[in-house]
Amino acid sequence: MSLLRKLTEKPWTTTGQLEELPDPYVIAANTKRTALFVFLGVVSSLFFLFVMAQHQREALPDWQPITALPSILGLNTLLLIGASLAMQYAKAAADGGNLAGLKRGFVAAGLLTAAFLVGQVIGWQQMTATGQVIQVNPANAFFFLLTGAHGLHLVGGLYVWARNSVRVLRGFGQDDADQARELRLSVELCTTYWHYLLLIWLVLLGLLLVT
Amino acid sequence: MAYVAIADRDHEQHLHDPQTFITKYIWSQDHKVIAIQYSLTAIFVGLVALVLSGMMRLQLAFPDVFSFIAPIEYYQFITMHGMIMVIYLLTALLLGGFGNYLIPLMCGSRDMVFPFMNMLSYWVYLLSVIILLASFFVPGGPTGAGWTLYPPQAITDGTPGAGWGIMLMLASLAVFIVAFTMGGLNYVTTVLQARCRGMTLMRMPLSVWGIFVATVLGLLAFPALFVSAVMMVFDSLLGTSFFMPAILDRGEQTAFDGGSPILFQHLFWFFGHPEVYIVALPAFGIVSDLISTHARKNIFGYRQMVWAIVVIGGLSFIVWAHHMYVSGMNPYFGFFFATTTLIIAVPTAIKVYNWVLTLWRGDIHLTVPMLFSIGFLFTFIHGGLTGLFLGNVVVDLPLSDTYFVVGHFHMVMGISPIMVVFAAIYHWFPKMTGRMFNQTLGKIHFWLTFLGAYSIYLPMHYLGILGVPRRYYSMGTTDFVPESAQAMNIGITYSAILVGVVQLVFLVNIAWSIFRGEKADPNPWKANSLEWQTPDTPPKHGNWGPDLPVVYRWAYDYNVPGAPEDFIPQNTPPDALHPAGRDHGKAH
Ligand code: HEM
Ligand SMILES: [Cu+2]
Repeated sequence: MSLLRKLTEKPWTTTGQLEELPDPYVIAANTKRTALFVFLGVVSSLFFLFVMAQHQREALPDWQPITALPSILGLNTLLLIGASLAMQYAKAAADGGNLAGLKRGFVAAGLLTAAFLVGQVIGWQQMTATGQVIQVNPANAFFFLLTGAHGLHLVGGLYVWARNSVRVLRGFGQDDADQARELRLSVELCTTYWHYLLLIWLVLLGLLLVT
Repeated sequence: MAYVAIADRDHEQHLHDPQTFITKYIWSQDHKVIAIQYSLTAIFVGLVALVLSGMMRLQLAFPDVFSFIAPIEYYQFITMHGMIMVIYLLTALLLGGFGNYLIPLMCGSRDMVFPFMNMLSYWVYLLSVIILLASFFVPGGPTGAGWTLYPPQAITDGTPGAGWGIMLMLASLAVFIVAFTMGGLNYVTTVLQARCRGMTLMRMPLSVWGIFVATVLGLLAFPALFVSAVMMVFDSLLGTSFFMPAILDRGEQTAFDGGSPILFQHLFWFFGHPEVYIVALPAFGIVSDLISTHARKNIFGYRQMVWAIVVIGGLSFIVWAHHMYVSGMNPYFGFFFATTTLIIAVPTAIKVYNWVLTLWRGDIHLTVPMLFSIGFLFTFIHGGLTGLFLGNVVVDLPLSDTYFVVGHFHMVMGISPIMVVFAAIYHWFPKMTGRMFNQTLGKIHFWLTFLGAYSIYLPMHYLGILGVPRRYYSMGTTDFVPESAQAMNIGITYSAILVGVVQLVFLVNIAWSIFRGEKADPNPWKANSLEWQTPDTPPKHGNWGPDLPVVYRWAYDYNVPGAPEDFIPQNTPPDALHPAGRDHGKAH
């Protein structure tokens, strides 16, 4: 049933009608997916508002673009793209039942992400070393604010990653279909989250380059 | 489509069954216990805010009598009163309290889908309350910036609590938002994924619809408050200039330069206006169900009611700047926001008509919940109409920052939701506790609260039209304000004290009834929705015993012709009513 049909149901005329129940596993998986999507909605709202705030602040006369972005940002971006690809690889491996590939991809994704975060901190140091501290001009302030907010979201992601890697490394027995399904779902959710945070990073980077 | 909670999988069920007192009542993951924890905490801080308002009223009526209320304290009281009432009482009580209690019970689920996160939500909320109240005890006291916390004054010396106070306020808000997000993810996901079999979206009671859409608004709007709080902390602690313009402080140039206080206002009200509906939509939903139940009639225009909730929720994101007409905005902006504001009146009016049409020729039982629901109709219509005044730029300009505004928003988002909160507490009290409250005390509570609140806020409109400004410690000698205004202020204060004291009747009634009240029938109001059909009252952990309910109809089958009784619970199969099977639509 489409959403529109659901929302136009005349409930006083459908008394007695029932639908079939789906498999409980499907329900559990959809529940987690829904929660993740709702959470990504919250994250989108947060970054949208940060970006809109910057947009408004830019219009004021004292705004100057950042003179020199830290050179390491390019490398960091590659690292984060790598992390996303590794997640995708892990997910594909999980779907194909390839446990070794899953372990490789999942662990690599986490390490690349951690490297990205270290790189971001180095970027901050490059900024402050050249005297471009947070107070100097509003563009700098937004730079620290936005990279910080994005980084914190990745730290949260890494927390979930760490909890799951224990399970990934332990693996699952051939006959334990339940565990395998659950693990696959976790990897799928991580993948979605990583892609989304990569997307946010690309948008933020784009904004940094054009302003 | 999905209908079974994660928590319904067998192997998880016994794991979660609480064993000890601590896991049952303190670190509980049961949505009903969490709901009650949320409610009690919210009511407790609400009482603090009520006392603060009483002290403000004393000061306004008797300006030179109370030496412990200096201007500094007055501003601190205003700020804490406003913020506590809006966020820590109403938002927490309607969503954390009623949302938690009603969603799983009304949707036929065992619990919220993520019970652990739900528990965490309450404890983080409690932390935010503690941080907030801690600001009474830090150097400089709580912030006195007004509940809108506008910079630059909020973080500039000279404003009460510009150091510690405002930082604790912002920290507390940020923590609150984290708590709300954890709860909100649960409410939304539970509604979408954990409804029992047969509970289609359009068979959900309107209470669930109101809470659901309000939660979505909260999830999208609270980030705006979060963003503004973080940026203000940066300005204050790190010396950035997001919001702070170049400013002279006692003759000295500060380090701030070029920031925009208006930017803060946009962010704040992008949250602040939806916040009004975060409080109002659950109230709308709940009052619809109460009116239908106590008038023994199906709700008039169910689908319109659902769509109106959704449309109001959507529109509430594009009206925020009607709080900023006096900020010097472009007149075309003002025109745009006035238009969108007036458009919201359309779905809102539809709801009001439908409530009244539900009452029309209904079999109205003037129970305590019904009295409060009807009280809500009065205060809400009243506040809604003055909102139309203020939505127009030319009318708002002279009335802005006067007592007319104070009268308006107390009517529409102060007293109206409070009426519904009381109605809801009385309505669900028998289910929550298994006991009945004292009806006479309930009626006394209603009449004194309703008439008392009216005599507080109705005169304020008149004061506002006279030009009495809002947020003033005392009027001093002001030519355009006649002497009689002071007489009116004294009258308002007497009413406020009366209303404050009358709440004791409520507290006593509740406290007494929990232990000594008559045993309640499991379904004393003969209502249809699922929470009244639980096998135990109060419902046990897991709510439904061994089998989840199955839903065959909407929640509004009251006085159906030919039915044996004047109500048909949602889980009654058609065959149970018409053994011959005359009913259209068969289970398949
Ligand atoms: C008997 C109950 C109440 C009384 C006597 C009362 C009284 C007051 C008073 C005297 C003020 C200060 C007005 C001024 O000087 O400008 C005020 C402000 C305010 N009140 Fe209430 N109030 C009550 C309940 C509520 C409730 C239930 C809400 C929930 C929405 C609420 C929300 C506010 C807000 C948001 C402000 C503005 C604070 C500010 O200006 O920063 N009040 N109230
Ligand atoms: Cu508004």
